[in-house]
Amino acid sequence: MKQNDSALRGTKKVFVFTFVQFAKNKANLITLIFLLILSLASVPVMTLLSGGEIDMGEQPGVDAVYLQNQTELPLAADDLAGRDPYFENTKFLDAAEGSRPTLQDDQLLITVSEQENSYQVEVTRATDLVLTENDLSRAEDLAAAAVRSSQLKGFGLSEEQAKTAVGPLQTSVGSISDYRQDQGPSWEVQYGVQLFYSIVVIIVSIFSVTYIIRTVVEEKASKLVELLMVSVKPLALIVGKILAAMAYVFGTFVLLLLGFGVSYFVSGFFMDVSDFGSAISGVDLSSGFLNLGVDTVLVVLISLILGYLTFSIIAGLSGTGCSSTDDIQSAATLSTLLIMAGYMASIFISTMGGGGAGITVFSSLCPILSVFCAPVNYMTGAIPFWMLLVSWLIQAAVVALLALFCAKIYSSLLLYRGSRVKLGQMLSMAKHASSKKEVG
Amino acid sequence: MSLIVSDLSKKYGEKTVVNHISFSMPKPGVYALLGTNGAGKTTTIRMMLGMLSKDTGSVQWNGRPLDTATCNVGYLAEERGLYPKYGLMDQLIYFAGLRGVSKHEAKTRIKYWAHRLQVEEYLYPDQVQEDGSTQLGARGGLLSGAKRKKAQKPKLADQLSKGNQQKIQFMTALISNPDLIILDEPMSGLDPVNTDLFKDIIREEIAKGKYLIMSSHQMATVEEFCTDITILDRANAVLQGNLNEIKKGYGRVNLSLKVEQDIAPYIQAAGATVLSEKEYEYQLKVTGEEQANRLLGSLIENKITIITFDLREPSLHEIFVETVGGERHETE
Repeated sequence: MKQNDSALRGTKKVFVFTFVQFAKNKANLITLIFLLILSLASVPVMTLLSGGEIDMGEQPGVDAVYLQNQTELPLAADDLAGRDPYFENTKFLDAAEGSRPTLQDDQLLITVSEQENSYQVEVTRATDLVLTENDLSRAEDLAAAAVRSSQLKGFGLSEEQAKTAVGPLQTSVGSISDYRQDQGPSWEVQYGVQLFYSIVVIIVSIFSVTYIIRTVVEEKASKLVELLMVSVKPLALIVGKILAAMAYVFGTFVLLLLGFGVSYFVSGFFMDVSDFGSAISGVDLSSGFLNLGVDTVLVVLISLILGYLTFSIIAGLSGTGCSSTDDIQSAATLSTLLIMAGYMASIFISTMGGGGAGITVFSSLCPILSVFCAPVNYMTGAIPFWMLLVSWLIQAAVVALLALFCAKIYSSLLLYRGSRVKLGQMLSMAKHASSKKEVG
Repeated sequence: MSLIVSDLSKKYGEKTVVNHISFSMPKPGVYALLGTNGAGKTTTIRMMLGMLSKDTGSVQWNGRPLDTATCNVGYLAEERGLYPKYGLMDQLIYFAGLRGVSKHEAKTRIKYWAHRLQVEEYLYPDQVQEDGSTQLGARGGLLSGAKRKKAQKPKLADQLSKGNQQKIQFMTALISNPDLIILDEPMSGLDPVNTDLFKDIIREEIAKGKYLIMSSHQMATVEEFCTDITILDRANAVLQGNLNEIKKGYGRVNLSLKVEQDIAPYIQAAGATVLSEKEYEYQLKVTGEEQANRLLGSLIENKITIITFDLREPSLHEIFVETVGGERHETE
């Protein structure tokens, strides 16, 4: 235990120094500012690109709607109110038959007339300066529904029955597997959650790979290793550096999410951002099957941290084999491939709808794959909590073993200068070292 | 305090790079590890500091295994470097912090060493006047008002010359006020002015009672400081001990002679060997004091005007060359 304490002495100082230098680095600073601007601008820009419009602040757009009923139907302006939240701040007024009211820029006139056994709805605006085509269209739908409702009431239906009769009809097509799994979440829910979670893992991990390798290599590339080794053990050095790179990238990611949140919140004041809400709800995080609460958030956080640690240490291991910054790109390939393989496999499994109990258990317990699958399987109820716990324990053991292996290789190759040492050579080095120890 | 290195060995595969090296420093001073390139000096130092595993042997500091976590060691490595793109001040505070020096204390020591090593202009550019003099405020603050020039940032390591980088690295070795200082080729690459600066600092550290281990190719420099030496050749210690004792063992065999006439016949008669001769200034090799006195007697007898007669022991350089073989010695 004392030896471990000694081996980790200085980790905090290495962490703080490396983190501060990351934050001070001009290139990192410029990248961070650029990404932050992008995240802040994301919601308004994407809303505008998808056809949304900027609301100049006058809420709601339609101040008043006049209804001129030229038919025998019992239809008054009050029948239009309360049907569409879009018009919740709009006044509905009856217009006398035979005279046209003088319309302001933000007022509409709905005329309902009867022609050859059919009813006609006409919506008129004074100018197109304030009210949009969308306002006209929604007013038209509103009037049509009111006319249909009035017709049905004429046949003896109650107000509620008439509303239901003219309400929208929603349809969906279900597969046999959906039918059989009607006790669990739909395929769409599982796939959506898997995709969402996997993308978070992949973004954070892949973004970190180059940072971690670069920071692991920099002492060797700067010929500083010997000086540092007098003060700090290799384990403390590599742990401090990897954690600093992880914290920096994770912090950047959180800042970007916050930027996106601020963008969404602020944009809501001056434009319709409901499309974004729909896109997010497309993942169906509100599904009752997901049991979203504090415990689920903790599950996601713990799983994310374990997964992030796994990939970061693999990246660190790749970095230990490098002697110069020229090797960084090739060293990053292994880590990136592993992350991508885990991601692709998790998505493939989720497209199969879980693929059966055997594959679910395998994907929850197998290292690398479990990083992506275990928390999602738990959230969707495919595995019980104890299995998630087993998955975490396996992941924690893998992280600990990888960290020790990484520190051992780092220590062995600290004074090595030459071409990049590949994974196979590292394994053979570790094997040689352990057999030597046994003999000794 | 004492340092005892016992039976250090290291092999890479079948190749022995350090073969059962032992030495000790029972009291403060300078111990020199000398040797040709690849003789095993740096490997010995790395094993001492625990950077390389030892096949055999031990290193004891104050009767306990040397542990850099508990023993205050300052090390100037042969392979020198700094973070090229990080601020110098940040780096120095970081290295000091790793050696257990608080940030506040580190700043005080950096200020002292920056002044001592004449690198203030790189660490405190705002406090250095155009004429090179430094003007610090009462608390080391910046100059104020009209005297303050446009704010300048401290330099990054890659903006310094090699010599100045070496000074910063020397500073990192000394910033923790170490008891044991290990300097691997400390003067290599320095100009004469900076070499003298380093020498002065080394003298000061000796005077403070520090233990210094120095590895160098520059024999004259080592000879100036060291009391004990080990000469390594192809992984083995080929000569070891107190430098004065070693020299005594060789005897006084070097004779420098300056006269006003040609004395070649007298030298030949005395049986001495001429190593070099330039305008009646001779460098001779004699077998000992008796032969030198015989030559001196014959010169006086023949009324030769003697300007210089200097009989001395061989220099460390000569001992080194003779020990490891002149043909293999590569000077830097």
